[in-house]
Amino acid sequence: MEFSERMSFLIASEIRELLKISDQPDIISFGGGLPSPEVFPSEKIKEILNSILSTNPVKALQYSTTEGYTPLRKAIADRINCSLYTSFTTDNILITSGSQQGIDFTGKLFIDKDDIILCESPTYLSAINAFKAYLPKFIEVPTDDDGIIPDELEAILKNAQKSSLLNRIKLIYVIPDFHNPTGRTWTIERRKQFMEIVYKYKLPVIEDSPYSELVFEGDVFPSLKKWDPEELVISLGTFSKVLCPGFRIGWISGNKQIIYKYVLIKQGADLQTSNLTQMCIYEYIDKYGLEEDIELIRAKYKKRRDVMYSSIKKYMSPEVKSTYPKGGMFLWLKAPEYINSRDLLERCLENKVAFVPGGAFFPNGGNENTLRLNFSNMCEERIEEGIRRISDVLNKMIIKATS
Amino acid sequence: MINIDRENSTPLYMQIKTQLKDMILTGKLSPGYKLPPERKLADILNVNRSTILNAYRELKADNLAISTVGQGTIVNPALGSVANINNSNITPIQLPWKHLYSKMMSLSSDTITQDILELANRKDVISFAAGIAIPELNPLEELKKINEELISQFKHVPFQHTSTQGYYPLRDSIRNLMQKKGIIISNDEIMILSGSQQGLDFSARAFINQGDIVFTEEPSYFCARQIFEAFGANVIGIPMDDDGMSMESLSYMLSRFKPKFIYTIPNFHNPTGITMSLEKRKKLLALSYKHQTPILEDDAYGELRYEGEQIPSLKALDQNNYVVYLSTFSKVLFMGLRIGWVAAPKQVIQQFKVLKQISDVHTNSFSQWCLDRLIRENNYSNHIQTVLKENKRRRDIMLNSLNRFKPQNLEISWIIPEGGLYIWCSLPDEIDQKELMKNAEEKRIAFVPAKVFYSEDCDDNCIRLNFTFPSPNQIEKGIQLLMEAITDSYKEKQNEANSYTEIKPIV
Ligand SMILES: Cc1ncc(COP(=O)(O)O)c(C=O)c1O
Ligand SMILES: Cc1ncc(COP(=O)(O)O)c(C=O)c1O
Repeated sequence: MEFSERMSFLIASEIRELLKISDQPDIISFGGGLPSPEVFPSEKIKEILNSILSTNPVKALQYSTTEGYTPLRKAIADRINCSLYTSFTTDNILITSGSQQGIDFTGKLFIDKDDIILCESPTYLSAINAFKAYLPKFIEVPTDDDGIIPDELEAILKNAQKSSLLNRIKLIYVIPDFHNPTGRTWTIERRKQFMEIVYKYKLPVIEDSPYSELVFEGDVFPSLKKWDPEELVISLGTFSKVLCPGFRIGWISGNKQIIYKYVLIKQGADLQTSNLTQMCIYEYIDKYGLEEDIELIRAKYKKRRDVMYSSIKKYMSPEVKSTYPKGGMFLWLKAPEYINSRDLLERCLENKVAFVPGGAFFPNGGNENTLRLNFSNMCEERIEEGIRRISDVLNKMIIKATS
Repeated sequence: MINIDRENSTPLYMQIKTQLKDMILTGKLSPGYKLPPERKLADILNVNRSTILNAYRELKADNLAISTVGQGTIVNPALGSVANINNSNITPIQLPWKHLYSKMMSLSSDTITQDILELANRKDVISFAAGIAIPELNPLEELKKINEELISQFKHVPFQHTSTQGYYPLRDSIRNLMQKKGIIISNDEIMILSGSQQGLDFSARAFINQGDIVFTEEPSYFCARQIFEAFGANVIGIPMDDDGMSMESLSYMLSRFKPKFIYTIPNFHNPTGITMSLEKRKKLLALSYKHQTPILEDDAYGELRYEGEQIPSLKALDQNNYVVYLSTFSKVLFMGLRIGWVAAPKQVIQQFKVLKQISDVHTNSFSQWCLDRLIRENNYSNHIQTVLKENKRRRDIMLNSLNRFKPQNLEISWIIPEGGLYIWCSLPDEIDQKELMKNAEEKRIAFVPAKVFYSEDCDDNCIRLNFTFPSPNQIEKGIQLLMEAITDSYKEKQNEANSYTEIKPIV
């Protein structure tokens, strides 16, 4: 059988193959972006499912509209209006099967072959892969501890303008809150500067915010939507990180006309998202809110972040730089240039500890000396032990290379 | 502060909204300003409260105001930033998004499915339009029991990620179901999808390059054609006989074109209800081998046979791994669960897995666990029996009603389907379908016109009638009303014809 051109750009990732091993229970895995399962409120969910099946079964098990279950869309609009300074109504929200689907639809909606996507350097691996299916080029915008670097962004756009490439740049994809893979968060100042540049060049923004509510210190940061009167920003959200990933419920929010385009895409892609699941989440929010669950998650992850960060300080060579995430699930390490983290991973697997080599998070390659560590999914003891094991291997590699 | 002009043709609420909008945009009402409560403003302006409600709703729709708990409606605080960024108080200009959309997007603009589903959800309409199974027949008690047991036993586990290819036990259950139908494959050749629609999307993505050709039956399922076209396919329709796709046409077309695949719905075809005969299935496979063209077999309705002999699927007959087979639980069980599957050669599954990973990671875990339990506890075959019985009853009621209410003077005929969800009903040439839809809508009846199922202009004057979604009473009443609408449309046409005066050339 002869497959399409786009498939040749989509190879199953070698890292995924490597990390398959890390599913074994005796391995300490900092690999996946998995939430901690123990916080899931299974008893409450059971009650809710039962009550839906008793009171409203026909609706729950029926095809409904492509846009999604209206009360849930309304509830999402209300939630994000409060937390993200938006003023959305139901029509601004489309329910998707996880925010991954929002990313994929974005590619479908905007990207023709050889169009350009701007993104942070590094950025979310599965977003890179999803966009690749539409055969784009990527331009990576440099970042630092405060987020995307506005001057660099402006320089790129100016350059593109000079070489008449601006019209090929279709969008910029960003993760301002507790970034995957770096764990960094954009400062308010950066957000404003970013929006000013984006407005100058009229560039659509895809803001992917799965982690925004998982803050450990201080308040939730405002969405880019706060500075977006012309509705250039399309925001993606999900319940995967605050409730559970297996439901596969996320949403796209933004300008109504654009949401409508996304609805058309949804219709062709899978008609609609499971109604029962949507109702279940709606009833849960309506009855319990998500605040208590989120508090639990925050407390738990914060402790784990602390243990991971202090273990790194304790065990790892100072040659290795670490980010200090103020929320989310990930921490990012930068080893000296001569370290290749894929090699490191292979040796670490022998010592029964796993992480994701950072190179994969750069759409144009390079940066093989970086590592992404997830801290949400392992208990504190194992985190410390795991960091100790990685440090053992890594420190030896450093000593060997420098002596 | 607000003037209203009752003589003006602009509705009052729009007048109020426009003036408030101006005040907001000129900064007279600042961001965060609390607008007067609806009742109060209604009293002041001496209008109905609903007028104010509408005006506020419009403001909110424009993002100029928001509702807050405790404060009522306030001017959107986020507007403060308009001034920051634009340094002006003019209404923001909309980005001309249109030129940013991909080519693919410009090819998919039809909202037909959505419109149909919306109609089905309207309480005042008898809908023969939607392809929805009998809503009341879900095995609810079983599902409740399963839900209870699963969560008590496994707690959070059914809510975590499952494998991209699908929950293994469910794949195994499906393998078992397929084996009973003569399709012998391994679990590796099965993948769970979020509805079989996703299988159509993946097939398009995995196979179609811009300009590639795809064959389908003509007519065919519109969402399939739409998604193929969205990925750049040139869809060529192969006409149908009473026993499925015309093999003469197919053979001729295969000698002229090299399609990427042949898409077919061999069982109880959507929209015609036709089933492909065994001879044709064999012929189709032979042709596909000869021309080395894979077949995409969409078996959404195969389970729903009410009479006659079961015919083996193309997948069961296929000796050479040419068939990609799609099916779904949507038409026999809970469609709200959104679970379908694909059975295909491993190399295709491999590609689909890559696509699944980037499109929605995996199908809803809990739904997969529930469904698997349901199939395993042997309730599945009992349930299917119930569904078949009731579906057949409704089909017969529709057939009887058609016979009973059909106007004697008009040539109306239909194909009696041996299964599935649809009756394809042919109308006299004189009937204009647009006209008919209007007349039917007035009587609160919905159906799907033929043109939706055709890739090009169609002169097939048929309509698709679903007999499972409406209740038996609704079927009778609805068919009666539909026939009246047809008669009305016919009469209108006659009157038009009579009043038409030919223009004679002046010589
Ligand atoms: C940045 C980012 N976007 C999107 C997702 C996908 O989340 P969902 O489960 O909602 O598809 C993730 C999950 O890891 C993520 O890190
Ligand atoms: C022929 C055909 N294929 C596929 C589907 C999609 O079904 P689902 O995505 O619910 O499995 C339908 C639904 O109407 C159909 O008629």
